[in-house]
Amino acid sequence: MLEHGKIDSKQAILLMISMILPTAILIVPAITLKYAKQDAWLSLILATLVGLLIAWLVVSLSLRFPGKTIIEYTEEILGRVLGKIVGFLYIYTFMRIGSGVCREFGFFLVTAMMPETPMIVFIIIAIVISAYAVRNGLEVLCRFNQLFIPVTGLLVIAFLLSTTNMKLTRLLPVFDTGLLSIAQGAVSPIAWLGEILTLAMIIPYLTKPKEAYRVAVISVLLSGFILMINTMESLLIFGPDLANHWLYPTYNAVRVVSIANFLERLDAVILMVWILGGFIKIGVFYYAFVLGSAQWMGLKDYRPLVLPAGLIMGASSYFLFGINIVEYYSHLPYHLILPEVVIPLLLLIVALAKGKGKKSEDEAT
Amino acid sequence: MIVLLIIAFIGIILFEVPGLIKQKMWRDLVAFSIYLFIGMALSIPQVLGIILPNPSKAIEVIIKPVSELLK
Amino acid sequence: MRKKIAILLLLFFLSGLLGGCWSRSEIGEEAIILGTGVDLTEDGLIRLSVQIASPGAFSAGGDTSGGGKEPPAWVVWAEGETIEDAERYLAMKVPRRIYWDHSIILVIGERMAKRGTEMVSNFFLRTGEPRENMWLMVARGEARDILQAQPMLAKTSAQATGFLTRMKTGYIVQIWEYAEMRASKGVQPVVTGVEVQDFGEGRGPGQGENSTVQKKVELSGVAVLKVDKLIGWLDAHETRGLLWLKGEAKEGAVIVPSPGEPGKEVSIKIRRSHTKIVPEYDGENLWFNVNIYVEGDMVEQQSRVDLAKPEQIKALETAMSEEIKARTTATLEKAQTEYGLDIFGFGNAFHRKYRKEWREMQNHWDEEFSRAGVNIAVEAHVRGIGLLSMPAGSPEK
Repeated sequence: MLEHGKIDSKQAILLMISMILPTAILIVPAITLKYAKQDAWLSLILATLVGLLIAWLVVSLSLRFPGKTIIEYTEEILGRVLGKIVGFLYIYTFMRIGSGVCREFGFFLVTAMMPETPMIVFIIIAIVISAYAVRNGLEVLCRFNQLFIPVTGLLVIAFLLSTTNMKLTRLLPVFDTGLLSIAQGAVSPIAWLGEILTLAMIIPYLTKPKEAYRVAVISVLLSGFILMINTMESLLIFGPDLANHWLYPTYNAVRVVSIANFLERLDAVILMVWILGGFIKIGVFYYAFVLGSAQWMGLKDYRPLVLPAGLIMGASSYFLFGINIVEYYSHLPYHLILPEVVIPLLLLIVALAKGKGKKSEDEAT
Repeated sequence: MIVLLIIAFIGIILFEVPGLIKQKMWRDLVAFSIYLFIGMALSIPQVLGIILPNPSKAIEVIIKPVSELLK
Repeated sequence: MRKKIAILLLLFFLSGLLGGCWSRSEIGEEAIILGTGVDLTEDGLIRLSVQIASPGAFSAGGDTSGGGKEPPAWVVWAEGETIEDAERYLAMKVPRRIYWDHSIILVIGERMAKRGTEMVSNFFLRTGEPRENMWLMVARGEARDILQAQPMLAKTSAQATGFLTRMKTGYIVQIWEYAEMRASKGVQPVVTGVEVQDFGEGRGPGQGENSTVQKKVELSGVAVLKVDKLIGWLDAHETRGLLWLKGEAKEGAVIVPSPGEPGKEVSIKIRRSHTKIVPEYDGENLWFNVNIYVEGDMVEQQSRVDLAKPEQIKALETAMSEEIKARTTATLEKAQTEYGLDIFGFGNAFHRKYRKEWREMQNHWDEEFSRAGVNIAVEAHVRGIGLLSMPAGSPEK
């Protein structure tokens, strides 16, 4: 096995949350609010439900093949050639998301905080730090994450502090935008929550793989909850008409908060979650990319690939997503539906039809 | 910029290759080389200002029907 | 393992120092802006005026040592095709980096406001540095004059205006609130008005050499915008009506004729109030029931009637609701007939209740609003009567 470390369920949950949230808190509310306006909360509930389905799908599939990652068992299900192709698609997906996160990471910092700094600087820093974590294995990445995950709690505190600026009437009227808009608004959060797919690379290294269902469900629920809080924050402060005009509504929402002209400028909170979480998020996809590649090519060790893979991600973050943010947004998020939902579903169906893998999850330990 | 990039490549090679050769991990060395080559192929043109074709565009053509449906 | 995590931590914190690389800015190299003004000049250029704090005047000893030689702020301006263009010209005059983060107010000159306020707000919302919670105002006259005025009590006119807005006696908006009104089809934006007035000469002892006429800034009514262009004003009196209808009359007083002695007045200070707008629509007729609830304390009595009696308090409450009704009706009529604009947010209330009808009506909402009937009902309560039960010093009758 390529990875010798083991992580427990709690670490896995925390890792999954840091893997979904950091970029979601700033980008998802903007897209969801654009479509669903004051019904954004319905979109998010819908998205969380679909996210749970994806989580169930991915875990059920993985548990049929204990000790194997999604790159390995696709070959077992589909046969060598087709399996390699699908495996490659997943490696590409991990790389693509990873470099996309690098891009988002740099873009926000450049747009909102440091316009003079070249974006490549942020991207290089993020990749170098993540490279170090990834080279040291899953366990180090998890411990590192554990140290910083409490920062996410600040998002909840920021929400509580901003309640003074909120008006609940802004949620009315319910169902104004109609079912289609609610569904459209749900697409982006589904794509983000569907990143729980990465768990398929990690399940073999859980100390108790049997708990993978619990890990997936709790991760999706908690992420969905914090995402909901963030979307509500900007919606209840700015109202449905203005909230969708912002590029990063959560960031603007916390900037408006002012309690007694004293407690204000909470944007540092968002920035902390963004930077800390950004490293972890890049790290997880980086890890999945490198480990997946090593398994795909049948290597003994994934470590030699880390640095060149970082180069690929860094370079891709530029050339895959166009030069400006408008182009970047136009690439979101429909690409992810295929690897997150369609392929796992097909894999599960084929596995069931061919009778591959273990029949019952109880034997999976 | 291009100089920095080349220094980075040389650094990566010096960092990884001796260990791989010593342990006789030839397969890994090949994989490493392939990735390094892809990395170079993607980054050097960008530093030189050459625009590469974007594979996302190709995938978009496949996915377009779905996204149109949802838009 | 410990070591590795430690190294990761170190790497991570070291990356925090990167802030000192590119976008580094030292406080001594920054020009901190307290107030911003945007005018349209006569030749159609945009003039950006900024009030820059001079650090010496704000140092701890500045007040007591009676120094005050250095003026607390410096107002400088530049003209350009756009705001950013003007800012570039401004940068040629200011020997420091312009730092927007602390700007308290954004004043739009009258001529600029007639041209369009959105082209001003856009820059300040799009650029990351100015805060979304700047107070937005429209000047009667030039915005630059507002920034140049030297008020009492506060160091600069920007700070003075900032304090004035926080008193919440007038109608006030932050720039994001303006943007929300602008983005919404159910309400037309209104923005605080501000003007400069002379108040005598000199500034008291120690300031003799400064004999120019002192100017003060004053909040004066509300600018009414159609789409985003200034079309008229509400005076201070009508602004009170606006506050009642918007449900934002949280401070202030209601002055009513005293029961029993009509020539004299009684003041009731508002303690709590809220407003509910209930739209009714039967497919043809549209009308609104506005229910205003207010609670206040009697703080002043000019008459000599004993008001500490239940029936007198009742009469007072009736007078109070009459007064509020009169004020709101006056403002409402002005909005409906003179401007034909829904500046109160009735459209949003309608949207909440009749979402299907709204879809069709939102496009010609202002006409619908002008035709709509409005019933205003005020429920007023006098809660406290202060520390006196009788008008003190008057013998009982």
